[in-house]
Amino acid sequence: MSTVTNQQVEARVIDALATFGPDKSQITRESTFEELDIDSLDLVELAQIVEDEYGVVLKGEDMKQLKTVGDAIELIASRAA
Amino acid sequence: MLDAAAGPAVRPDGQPAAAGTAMILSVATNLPGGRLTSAELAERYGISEEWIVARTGIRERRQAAPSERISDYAARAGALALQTAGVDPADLDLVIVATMTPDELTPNTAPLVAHELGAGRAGALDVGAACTAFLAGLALGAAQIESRRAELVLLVGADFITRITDYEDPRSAPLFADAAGAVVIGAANGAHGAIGPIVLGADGSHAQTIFATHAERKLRLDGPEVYRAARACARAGGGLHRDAGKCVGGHDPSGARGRRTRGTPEARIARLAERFRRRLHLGRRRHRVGRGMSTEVQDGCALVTGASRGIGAAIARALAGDGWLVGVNYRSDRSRADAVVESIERAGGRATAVAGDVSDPDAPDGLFGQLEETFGTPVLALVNNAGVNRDDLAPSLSDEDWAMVLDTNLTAAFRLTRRALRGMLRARAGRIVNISSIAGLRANPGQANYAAAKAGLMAFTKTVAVEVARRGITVNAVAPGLIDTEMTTGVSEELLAAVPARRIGTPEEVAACVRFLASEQASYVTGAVLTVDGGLAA
Repeated sequence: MSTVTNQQVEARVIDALATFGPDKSQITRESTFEELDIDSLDLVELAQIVEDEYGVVLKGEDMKQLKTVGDAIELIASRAA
Repeated sequence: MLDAAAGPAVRPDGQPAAAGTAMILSVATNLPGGRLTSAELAERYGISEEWIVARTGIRERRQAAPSERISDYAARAGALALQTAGVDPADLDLVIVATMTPDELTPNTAPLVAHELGAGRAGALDVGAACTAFLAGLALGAAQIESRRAELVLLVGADFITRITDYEDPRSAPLFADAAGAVVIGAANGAHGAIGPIVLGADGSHAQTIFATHAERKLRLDGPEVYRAARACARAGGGLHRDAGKCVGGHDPSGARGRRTRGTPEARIARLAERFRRRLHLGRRRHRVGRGMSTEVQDGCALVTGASRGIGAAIARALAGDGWLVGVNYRSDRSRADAVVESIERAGGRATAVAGDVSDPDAPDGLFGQLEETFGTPVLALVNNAGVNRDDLAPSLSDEDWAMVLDTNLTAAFRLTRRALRGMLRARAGRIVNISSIAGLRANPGQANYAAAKAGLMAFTKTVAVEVARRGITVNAVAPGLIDTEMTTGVSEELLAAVPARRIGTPEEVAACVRFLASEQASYVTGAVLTVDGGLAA
């Protein structure tokens, strides 16, 4: 697998989150999922998108730990590297 | 409006217009529930079923009940075609019904259909040219649009031919059936998808080869002679390729025509029509999503597990009748799955047989991959129908029989649902229907394993329904009671006597409920368990 950069993951995650409702401009690394009104089902879907794109399997347990968009980006980037 | 006067073409708004092109915007059918099988006819004539099937390619045909009216079938097919095309009946300029079996001598069927549909400003007329009436109607409808005398035309082909079939004649009787099919014709943008030239021909000198008199009301047919004459006529027409003879002579009982296969003109036409229908749906979908309304689920395909026989086969046929592209899953009986696919294609639908033992943990990926590749569209309807039973009283029930029934009836449904939800969540649309059983609601001694699996399926249904409801995905269960299938042969008389409706149900009665739950109309029904049991569990 080619190396995935943190920026690539960030762009993809923000694109995906924007499809769940929040306005793209609202989404920063610091935003919490709670603020963005991203629920558990959204996170499951995000995990599936990540799995399809980067081959990184994120379990429900992994996702539960995540509080902010930045947490998700770090986790995915570290697994994909 | 239908402009009967000769002269320069004018549009309905009175403006002169240049000649355009016409295309088929949607296709729909309405079929009677009654079936007349080749096996029944064979028994009547003391011949083999295979003799009929080899000559006609037909194993069963639809037959309307005596009280039913052709205008009702034509109107229902028309309504569905309009709905599929997204056309308001009030916008129709012309309604044409191709029929030789109208309900009355007069009025024509078309005005009744137009009235029923609310096509208030449309002209309406029947075309009574028997086998060629639909093609003649298509030529007429297309010409009206090409000349800009009309913008939208509804053409319905509808006949109850079994009412005039000569059942004394084993050679012609198996050919005929009852049904209605409809197309909406509108303007094509450019030549793409346009209806090509239609060359109509006739030769009245052969009238004696196929006729029905007023007095007798029986269709008398010299099959081989009709076929020869039609082919000669098609060749004389020039420019028509050899398939035309097949189309015109499609009712030939002489055996000259081969069995229908994927490559026949009929199947090709159905596929072409499907492509237009899908293109139209895709357009609507974007539009609807833009307005924040529910998506059109029939853009995707449907997977029905255990669909080679019984309830599963009936569900596959019903969904195909609603325009779904259907994956007919089977475990071992390839030939029966193929027969289901064939019957769907004959009715103008699209389906493909997909092998797979649903209790295999790898089955979901295999089945979904195969279907999505075949149809080029995600699975947006899943019907978990495959089921087995291994009955025994609990004290002697083996671990193997317990595990086998739980694996196939419950665990497989979970795995398939999990796989289906991937695509459905993305699509923000989807329909999952789990075929449970009233055995999960009402004790049936000897079925502890089956009951546990089926009750589990109901609880699973409700839970998943709640989890995904906000994504426009519905999850429901249908719980059949005593249904006439191979699984219930030898069912006890006492059990039957306990059914308030005093009869066994049909697979079609279950399929009709699944068809509804899978439809756009059922968009607010989720987490429900619908019993289809003649009142047994009430």
